[in-house]
Amino acid sequence: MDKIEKHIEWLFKPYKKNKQIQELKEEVYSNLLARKEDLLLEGYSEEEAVKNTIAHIDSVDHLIEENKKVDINRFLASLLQSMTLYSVIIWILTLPLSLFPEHLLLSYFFMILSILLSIVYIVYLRKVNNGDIKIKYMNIKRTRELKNIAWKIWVVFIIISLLSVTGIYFASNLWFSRPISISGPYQFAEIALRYLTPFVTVIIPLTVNKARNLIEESEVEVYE
Amino acid sequence: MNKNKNMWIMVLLLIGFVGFIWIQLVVLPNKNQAEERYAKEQLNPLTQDFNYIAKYESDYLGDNSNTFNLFRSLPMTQDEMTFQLYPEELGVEVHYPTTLSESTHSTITTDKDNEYGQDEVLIAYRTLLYNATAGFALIKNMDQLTLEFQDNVFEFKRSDFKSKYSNLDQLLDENMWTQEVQQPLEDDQYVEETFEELAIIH
Repeated sequence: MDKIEKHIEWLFKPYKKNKQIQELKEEVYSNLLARKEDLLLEGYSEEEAVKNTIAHIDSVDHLIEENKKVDINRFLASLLQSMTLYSVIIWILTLPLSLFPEHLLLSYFFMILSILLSIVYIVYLRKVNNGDIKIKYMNIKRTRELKNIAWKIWVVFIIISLLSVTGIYFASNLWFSRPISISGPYQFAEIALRYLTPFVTVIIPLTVNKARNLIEESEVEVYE
Repeated sequence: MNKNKNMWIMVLLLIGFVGFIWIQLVVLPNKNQAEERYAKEQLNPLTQDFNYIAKYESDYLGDNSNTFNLFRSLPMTQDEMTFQLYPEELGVEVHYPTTLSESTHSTITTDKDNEYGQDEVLIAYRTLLYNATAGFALIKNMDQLTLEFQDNVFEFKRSDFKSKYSNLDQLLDENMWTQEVQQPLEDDQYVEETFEELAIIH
């Protein structure tokens, strides 16, 4: 493998090997070879020509179709805004948990999370308002995959949680076909909470989902 | 950036903080107070919640932990109290580590005591009657109950309670318990007469 090929391999390292990428690689390679030939004709030495050719291209991010050019500060500000909103809503919903010593920490956790997210959001909002632009490429296809994975993991997590709560409280009743007895409203609330609390983790897939949508919204310009 | 969302965040944060402060300053202290009040009410025969002791209903006094826990949940309960079971006579002995008077003081916990029976001896009799009734009603095969204090020993027999209440099982209901057991105990004369009728003083 010559130096130019090695350089191309390095440039394409973050991307999955597929047909499209392979074609792109070949195209870049033949372009670079052509450039090297031109330089040689111009009287450059082999070593200088290669060096010059390599220096010519330091990224292929803009060539990948799925890559979107995003203002990362604006992207993060919008994402933090949504995360803050999700967190505050979950915090308000978990406020009644303060009455249940066992679940108390969950409510406090979302209060602290909401405050922290608000602070970080304000920091990024100021960056955006000050015109601080930081461009980065984000791969829309990869984030779409990430989004799907996040939702799948979450659904599996919820199913396991619900089954395990059922197991803890009712398995022996079901197994021995004994009637299920709930002694009072407090115990009923305790069981209901065991079922409901795992749902607060929905903030994770929601955030990934939002991030995926925001890439398109925060796109600066489409590469042509 | 969505300006509406900023407004929502601020409004919801405000709602959250108001709710949080309300829960911390109003709801939780009220709940704790109610729990404390409830715990105190359990120490007095006139205010004890039947559901608090109903779970100790059992057919056998040999179910040791159940029997002990019942007496530990009744008024006059003390940390260092001990028990002796007599399976053949179907008897239970409860040893209180203090005198009758000291044990009685632990039951004077609610305002209700100021309204009824200020006489300490009557309060003691009332509590002893209540504890014995609860014992015979909930532990179905207990025939004898001895409540032993440092200075006094009282004995009760199921047969006497049976003739008093005709059917002890009918008492095992929250309303019946209040009506038939707790309410009559509010009357000093009733307490005095019933105690003389049912208790054997050693």
